[in-house]
Amino acid sequence: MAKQKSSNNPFCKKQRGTPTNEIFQYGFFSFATYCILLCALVIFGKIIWEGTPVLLRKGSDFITTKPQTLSVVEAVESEGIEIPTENFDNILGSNDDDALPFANIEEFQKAFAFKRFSLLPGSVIGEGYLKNIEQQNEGFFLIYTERNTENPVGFTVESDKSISLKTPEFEQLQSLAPDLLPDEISTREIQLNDHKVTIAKGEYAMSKTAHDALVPTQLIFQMRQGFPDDEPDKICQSVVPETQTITIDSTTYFAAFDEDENGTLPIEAEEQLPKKTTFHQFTLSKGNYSAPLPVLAILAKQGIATQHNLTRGSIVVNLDNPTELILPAADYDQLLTANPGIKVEGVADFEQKADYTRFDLTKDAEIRIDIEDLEALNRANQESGKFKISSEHTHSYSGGGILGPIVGTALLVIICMVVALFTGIAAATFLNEYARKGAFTKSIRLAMLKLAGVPSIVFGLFGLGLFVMLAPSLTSTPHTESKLSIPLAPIASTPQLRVVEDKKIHMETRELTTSEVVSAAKANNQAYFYDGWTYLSFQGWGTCMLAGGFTLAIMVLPVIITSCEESLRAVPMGFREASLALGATKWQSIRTAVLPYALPGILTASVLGITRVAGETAPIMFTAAAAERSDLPWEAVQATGFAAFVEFLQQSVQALPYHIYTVAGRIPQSEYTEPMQFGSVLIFMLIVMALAGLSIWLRIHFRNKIKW
Amino acid sequence: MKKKKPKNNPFYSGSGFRILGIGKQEAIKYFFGGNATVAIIVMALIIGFLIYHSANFFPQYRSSLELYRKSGQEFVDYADEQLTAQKELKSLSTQARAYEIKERLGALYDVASVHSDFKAQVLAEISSERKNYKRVKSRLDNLKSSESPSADDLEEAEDDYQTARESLRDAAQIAVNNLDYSDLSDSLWATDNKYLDQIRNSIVENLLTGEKTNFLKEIETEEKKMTEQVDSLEFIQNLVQANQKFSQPIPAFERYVSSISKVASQNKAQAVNFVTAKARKEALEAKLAISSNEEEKERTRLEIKRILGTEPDYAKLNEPIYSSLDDYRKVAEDAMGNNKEAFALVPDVDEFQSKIARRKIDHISEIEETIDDLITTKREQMESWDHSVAYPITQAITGFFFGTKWITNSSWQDIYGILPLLTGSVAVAIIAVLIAIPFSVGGAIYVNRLATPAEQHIIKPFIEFIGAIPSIVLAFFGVVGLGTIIQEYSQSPWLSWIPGFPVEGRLTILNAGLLLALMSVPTIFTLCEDALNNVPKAYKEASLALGATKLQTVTKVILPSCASGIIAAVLLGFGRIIGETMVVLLVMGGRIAIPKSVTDPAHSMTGILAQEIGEVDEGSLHWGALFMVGLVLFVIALTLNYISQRILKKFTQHG
Repeated sequence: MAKQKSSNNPFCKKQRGTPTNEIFQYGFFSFATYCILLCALVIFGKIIWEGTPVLLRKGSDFITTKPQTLSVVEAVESEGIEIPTENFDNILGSNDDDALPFANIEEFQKAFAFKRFSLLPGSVIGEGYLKNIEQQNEGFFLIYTERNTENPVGFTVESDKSISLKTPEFEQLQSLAPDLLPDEISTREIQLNDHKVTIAKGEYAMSKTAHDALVPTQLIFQMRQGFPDDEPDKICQSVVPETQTITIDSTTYFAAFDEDENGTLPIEAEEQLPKKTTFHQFTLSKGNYSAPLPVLAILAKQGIATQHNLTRGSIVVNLDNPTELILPAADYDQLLTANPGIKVEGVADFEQKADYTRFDLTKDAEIRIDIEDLEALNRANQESGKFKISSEHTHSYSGGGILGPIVGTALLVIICMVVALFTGIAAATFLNEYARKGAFTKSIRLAMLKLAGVPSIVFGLFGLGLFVMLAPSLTSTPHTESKLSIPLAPIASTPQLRVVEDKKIHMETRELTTSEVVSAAKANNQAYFYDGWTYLSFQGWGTCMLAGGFTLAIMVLPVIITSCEESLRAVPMGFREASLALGATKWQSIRTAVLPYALPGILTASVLGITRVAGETAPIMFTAAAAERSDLPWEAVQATGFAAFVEFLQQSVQALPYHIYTVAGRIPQSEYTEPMQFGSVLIFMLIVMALAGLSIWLRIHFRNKIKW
Repeated sequence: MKKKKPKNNPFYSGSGFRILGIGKQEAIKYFFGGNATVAIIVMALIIGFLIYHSANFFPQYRSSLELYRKSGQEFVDYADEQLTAQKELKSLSTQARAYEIKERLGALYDVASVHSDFKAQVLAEISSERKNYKRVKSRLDNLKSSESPSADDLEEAEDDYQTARESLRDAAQIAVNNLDYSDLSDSLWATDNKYLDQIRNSIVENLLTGEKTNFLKEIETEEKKMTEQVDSLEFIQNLVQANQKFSQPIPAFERYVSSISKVASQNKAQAVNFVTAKARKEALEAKLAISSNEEEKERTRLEIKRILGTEPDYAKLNEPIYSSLDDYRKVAEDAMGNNKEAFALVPDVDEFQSKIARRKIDHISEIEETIDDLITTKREQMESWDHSVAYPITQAITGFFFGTKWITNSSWQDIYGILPLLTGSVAVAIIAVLIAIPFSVGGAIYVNRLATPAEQHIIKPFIEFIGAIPSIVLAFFGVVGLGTIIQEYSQSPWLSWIPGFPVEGRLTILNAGLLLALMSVPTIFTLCEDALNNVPKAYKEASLALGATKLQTVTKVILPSCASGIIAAVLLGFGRIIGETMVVLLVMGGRIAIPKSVTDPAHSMTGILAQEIGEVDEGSLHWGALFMVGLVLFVIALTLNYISQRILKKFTQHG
């Protein structure tokens, strides 16, 4: 409206200036408006001001590396420190420009002796040794199906070792591995009487020592309360419900019935049963040995080092073809001596050269260094002892790097938008094209309106209850805590032995009902069970990106539906009528004459939706987010085929907003962590703000451009 | 539109598929319709889940509280509350004196701590030079103490020593000169620069000699003198005496409480053991039934026999507690007598110069009014206490909704009272809305009625843009920026009229409220603008035609006619804020207590959910309590939403 000039107004007799109160009012209104803008600018300004230097210094590394935890170490001045060049470059990157007193930096190649060999099918290897091979050979991961306890195992005695065994163990050793025993064996007899004691019915005070000693015996006693962990000296009341007589060995006797101590049980009557125990002593001389597994188990108790799994046995390698592997020469030698059952061929020596850097530290200095680099540095200088640290502080996430969180957020947003757009467009189409006004549509609209007002943390609770803990999944190894397991079909491939061991699966071979299997598994403290059936198990998906994506999708649904519907409504009625008049069916006209023209609006809606979900923290806190994760989601997948896809989706991820929450609110703050927080926040803000700007721009753009 | 039968349609060629009489077109329709019902299903599921998980809470809480009563812990807590009040009196009077001394000493008070702060910073910077200096010095000392030092060596060492000393001095001087009060983490330091240079010199001297410098000694004596001076003031002496009176009964009271609490916790352990016995027995029996190993079965049978079957005799267990009443009376009388004398000695508020000290004294007089009542009611409760009285479920329910304590993971007794969380949430939302209303409503009026089109084109998208700032970014700003700003500026004297100023901590309700205000501005602004747009044009035209000015039209005609729309907008904004999580979680300080002023830290319903639910076992009492909180939050948010929608609907119909 054009400004009115009062002088031209014939009704206005007197020319007055603007009254003071109007100036105030006007001033107040404009002040209010610009104050809001100013506040927002101050916040943006502060974050950009503090964050930009960090990003400039770190460069693109900030986005392309995973979150790093730096240690601040005080290193003592020294010469000739060696480190792999790669780690050296990292150290340079972690520290400010030229602050480090490095001198005489020279690169050289260091050679390490390695063995290359082919592992043949049918080899038998101890568990610890197999794990070492897997660590040294990237991409080699053995899924085994069989263990073996019969095969002999090897062990090394570093120096002469004296062994003392009781009779039963000694006899076992004698029968299983007579070669192992030297000629010279001495025996020693010790008188250790058994006791037959009678305890009268009654209520007694009992100490923890007495209690622990009595647990393995046959005595029936009932504790009035458990022993608290923080008060081990506490004396608790126990009830002996009837008079009993038990026979116990002397160790138990002295622990449980020592009259001088507090909290031991009084003895009604006692009788000593004389008993002698024989000890056999011999010396195992230095060298390599081979023996059956039970022998090693006995000797391991006497302090002989081994990496064999003594209860479950060795692993039978079930590879189809010989597999070429490498190991450091020392490890290879150890592998061969410890595993008589191993079959290898094509053994070859080779040297692996690595780029190393040697440098001097001209004075004591404070170095910021990544944990992994520090390990490498320590390892490389272990022998020479040249790198010494006088103090070390670890500052969580002080090294920046937000690759994991960015990837996690992107994955969550993708899953969320796929679900939300699919449902949202379908719902909007129904509401706008099919539905007639009535109770049904009214209640849908009401529900949507209410849904928009639900706090985001309540969506988090909902996602936790539904997706994390209740959603159904198809599996042959259901969780024992599953809400409902419905057996579908008696076909399921037996899980691999390794998976069984890693996941704690209870294998049931008997014919039992599901509930019996569940209680059997629980009694054995196993988390999952397998009985040859495929189940539909309502056990939830766990804390994973799928659950998080669905939760976010539910949250953003009202926004998506409303804006999709708006864009559908904007398509002129004539389009539909023309299409129908030409004989197209309802669906054909929607598909060809309505939806394509609503696409720009739907695009705007989805960008708006992405803006909303990318910034949300509360709904993903306990449905998807992991505070700490060292690898990217696809690096952890081990399964193949479709199972790999499922496994991929069922992982927890780091998400950028949750990462910021972790670094700003949950870990100790220090001068080293704060700049990195600003860097992360700046990147996060830029991403979200760019999306928000895009959605606002798109809306204005399409509104101006499309005119029917 | 009429339903078409494909058969009658001459253009319709294919028959398509038909299942159960449903053709392709209907199938598509039902599919879309099914997706639309997701909204209803989700709403129903949310309500269902909240109720399902919290349904068991009250019965569970009741039985937990019954054990709390049976074991005598309730009795102990009655006594403990009195002890806590007594201890608070003691600590308040101590604090009042300390703050007063601090205030009266001014900058002098902080010199020693600034000195050590600065020194630590300098030390970190010159560590290398210092080590070198020490090395050289020890070599020199070694040479001197050796029997026959060669003159050359000695001279060389002496030279080295001198250079090292010089370089250390230079480095320290440079480092110390770079320091300023602004480097201090503690911003309470009075900013006059009286002592700065002296502190700098003293640090360098101290570093070289390793001994206490004269300056420090002077400061110490002066501080001592000043403190004595303050202490010799009559009202401070009175305060000190009152403090002694307050603390006198505490040791005896403490002994009493700890003696009965030992008994009660023993009782509780036995009670819990008995309550859980049945479940353990059932688990073992189930294990026995499916186990196939004979040896294991034998073991399990024995374990079953070892499970306690008889209920503890609570009357006998609680005997020491009942008989302790006489001790209690003695202690309580002692405390009351001492308190009466002490309260008479507490000086008048006006005597104090420090504002914080005055606040503490005010707090003491608040307690003075209530403590006698507290002790008498608690005594009555203790005298009439009976462990065997059943705990009614209504009391568990009222205990939850009106309880002022939220204590979890405690080894004593978990208490779930929602009041501290609710007040925190509501307080922060009210502050935020109060701050946001003038800005957002004023802004909406300005943009909608007064601004030029160019301004409109910039401001409206910008405010929308503000609405897209993720809450975690605002929360982060609150932690690293706003908190410090508020704390620093609240120290300045010209702001001290605001209640609660100066602010003691960085993370407060006020801090969170300011951020949430900014967050709610876009919501309220947009809805207000809509409301303004909905006012019929005729109103404006009529008003202008009658000769009213533009602003008169806005304030007298347009605002009243869209008032209900604005109220609805504010209510919606309120509902938004009360459900916000990250800002209140990070910025509000996380202290679970009913806040007394806006500058206190507090906790909130959303915050407690975010913080605790990740660490709780499903189905436990704590789990149920958290879902109950979620349910309350949900109901509040929906009610607000409902009311504002109703107002909005009426308003649009009316307009």
